[in-house]
Amino acid sequence: MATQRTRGLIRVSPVGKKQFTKDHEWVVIHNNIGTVGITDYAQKALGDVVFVELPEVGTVIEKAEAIGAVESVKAASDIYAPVSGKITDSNTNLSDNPGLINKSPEDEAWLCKIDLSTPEELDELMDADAYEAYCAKG
Amino acid sequence: MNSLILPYIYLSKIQYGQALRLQNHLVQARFKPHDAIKKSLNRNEYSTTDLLILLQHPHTYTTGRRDKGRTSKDEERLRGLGADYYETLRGGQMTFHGPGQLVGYPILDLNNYELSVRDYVAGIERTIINTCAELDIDAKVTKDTGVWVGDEKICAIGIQVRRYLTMHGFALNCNNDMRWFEHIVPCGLQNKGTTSISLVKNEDVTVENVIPVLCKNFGQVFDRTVKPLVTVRDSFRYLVELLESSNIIEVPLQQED
Repeated sequence: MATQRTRGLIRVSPVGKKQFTKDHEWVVIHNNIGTVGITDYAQKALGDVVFVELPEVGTVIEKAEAIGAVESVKAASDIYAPVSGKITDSNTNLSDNPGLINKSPEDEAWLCKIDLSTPEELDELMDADAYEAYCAKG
Repeated sequence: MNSLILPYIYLSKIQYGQALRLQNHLVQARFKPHDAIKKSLNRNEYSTTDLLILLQHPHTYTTGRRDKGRTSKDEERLRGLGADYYETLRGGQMTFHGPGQLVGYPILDLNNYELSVRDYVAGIERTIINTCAELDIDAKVTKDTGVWVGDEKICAIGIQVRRYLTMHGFALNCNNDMRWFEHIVPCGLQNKGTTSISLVKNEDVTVENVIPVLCKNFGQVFDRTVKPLVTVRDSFRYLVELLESSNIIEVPLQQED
């Protein structure tokens, strides 16, 4: 089947499906808002998370810019924005319960939501199969 | 002998802020290699900027990332003691640095070592434990990070990782004046003390005494031969040029006669 891609406002491929960065963040898009988190692979590599630094709502960020950090076993690891845009929400549950990152990294422990300014950037991310292969190789 | 070399430099006294800028300079260069330097070298030569920075700081208190922006009261009090004060982006909580303490900032690309962040921290702990063992000190890790002798901490650990690149590191008490720790709750742990190699051994052991032992054990744990940069500078031209172009420190890169 040929890849369907619509020019202009409606984009077919990425909506509702998780996409991944090489830095082990995930993003899933609904109505031009990307929900962002770190992957299960990442939380395993970090160990027990004791502190999460979240981006402030309203901040405008560029793709690949640091948007926060996850601290585990005395190492603070920066988190990077998978896409450019404006932060519309951040998951303040994580401030009281940072360990949620270890329990539910790809669902309840989402980090923030980004209103996409440059949806074309999604084309550069990996789908689940490509990400799995990337992790297996690494 | 291991075939891969990890160079180290030793700065016997450097301000915290200067050392921080030096670390950032190396990490930034890794993200974006300096074109002018890169052009003259082949890929192998600029692909690694791994470096073990060993140093001593003047009296300095620092906090970790989770306390950022919340320590102005501490700052005023601790500066009043005549110490420098910095809020940092590393992991861990408040700690102290001063003369007589061996501070290590490994700037490593974890991809080169196939290590996760968790394994890297464990490797640092193992390095310190083995170093202490060689000095006849029985040190261990507990549920609280860092390295301990009994109920007293001998080495603090606090690391930042940016895209697999490490900075900050560890602080091993050799013969520093321990009274400076009395003004803080080290690493946020109440009811725990701190100690040093000299206190445990009841003899004066200097930073310079510990460096060769530390380098050997660091190399064994991370599978590298750790050598002074000055002795291997021809194999690390990009790293040498980066350090020289930093304008941050005067590194003794020429071998002394």
